[in-house]
Amino acid sequence: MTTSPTRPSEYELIRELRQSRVFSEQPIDEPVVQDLLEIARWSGSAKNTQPWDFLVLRDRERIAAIAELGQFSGFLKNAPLVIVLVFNGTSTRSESYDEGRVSERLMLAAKAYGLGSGTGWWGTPEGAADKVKALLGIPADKAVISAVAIGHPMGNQPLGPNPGRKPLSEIFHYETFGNRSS
Amino acid sequence: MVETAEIVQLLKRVHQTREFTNAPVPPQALANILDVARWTGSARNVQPWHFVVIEDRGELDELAAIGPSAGFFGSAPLVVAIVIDQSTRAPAFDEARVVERMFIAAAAHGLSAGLGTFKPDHIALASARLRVPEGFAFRAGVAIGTAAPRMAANAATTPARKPLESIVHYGTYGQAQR
Repeated sequence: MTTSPTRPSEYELIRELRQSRVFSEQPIDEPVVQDLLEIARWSGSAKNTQPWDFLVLRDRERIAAIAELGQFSGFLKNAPLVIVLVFNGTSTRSESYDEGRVSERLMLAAKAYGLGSGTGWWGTPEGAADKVKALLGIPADKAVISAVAIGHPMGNQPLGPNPGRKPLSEIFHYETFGNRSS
Repeated sequence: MVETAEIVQLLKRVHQTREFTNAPVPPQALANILDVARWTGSARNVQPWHFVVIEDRGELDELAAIGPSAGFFGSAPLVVAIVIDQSTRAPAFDEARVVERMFIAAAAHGLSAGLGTFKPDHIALASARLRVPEGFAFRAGVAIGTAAPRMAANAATTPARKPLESIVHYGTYGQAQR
C-alpha cells in the first residue's frame, strides 16, 4: 500500500466537527440511521470485545423524559434521534475508553451526512443513569452514562463558556515532554 | 466539498495496523493529523491532552520493550504519545475520542494507525521516559505509518463485528423491531 496524496477536504471535515445542541424537527431518514449504526458497529474496542448495545430513541416524550434526568443531558430533548450507548458494565475504564471511540465515530458519521450531533451525559447527579436505565428497560447490570443526539442543526449553536482550542504550540512536544523544537 | 459517500467509505475502512513499512510520514500529513487531534471535543472543553511526537528509533524500541501491547511501536516510523491530565473529569473518554479522530485523519491521508497502550503498572515507566510531569500520564500512543503489505492485505478480512441485529434496540432495551 502506498501513501496517497493528502485529501484536505476529508481532513477538514473531520477537524470541523463541533457539538450541536439545537436541532430542527426534521426526522433523520431511516437509511441514514442504519448507516450510522453500521459505522458505529465497526468501531474498534479493547480486545475487540465490542462491549456495547445501541438503543435508538425517536419517541419525543421518551427522549424528553431521559433528557431531564442529567446535569448535562438537557439538550437531548431538542433532538429527533438519540442513540443511547449501553455497555456491559464489566470494566469502567476500558468501557469508558471504548465509549469515547464509538461516540466520536458516530458524531463524525453524522457530520458526513450533514447532520449535527452532541453527547449527553448522566454522570451527575448521582442516580441519574439508574433512572435512565429504568425508563428504557435496560437491565440493572448494564452500564449507561451517555448518549449521542443527532439531528439537523439549526441556527446559531450555543457555545460553551470556553470555546475554541488551545494552540498546537501549547500542547505539542517533540520526543520528550517540554521539548518544543523538532 | 467532500461527498458524503466518500467520508462514509473512509469511516468504514478505518482499521488498526500494527505492522508498518519504513516509509516516513509526510510532514504535512502529520501536521494535519495533529490539527485534527487538537480540535477534538472534550468534557467541558478542558482539552486535557498533550501530544509528544516520537520518531527516534531507539526511543521507539525502548517504549516497545515496556509492554506487549505497545510492542509494535518498534516497527512504526512515528508514534504520537497522548499525555493526559489525570485530574480532569473524563480522561479515558476524552483520550479515546482523540485516538479515534487520529485514526480517521490518518486514513484520510492514505496512512494507517495503531493504538498501543500501557498496563497500569507500566504507565509510570513510559511516562518517565518522556519526562511527563506529575499529574499527567502517558498511557496510550498512536503509531502512524504505511501499513506493511501483509497488514494491508488483512484489511479486507479485519476481525468480525457482531451483527447489528444483536446490538441494536429500538425505544426500549430488548425491542429489536422499529
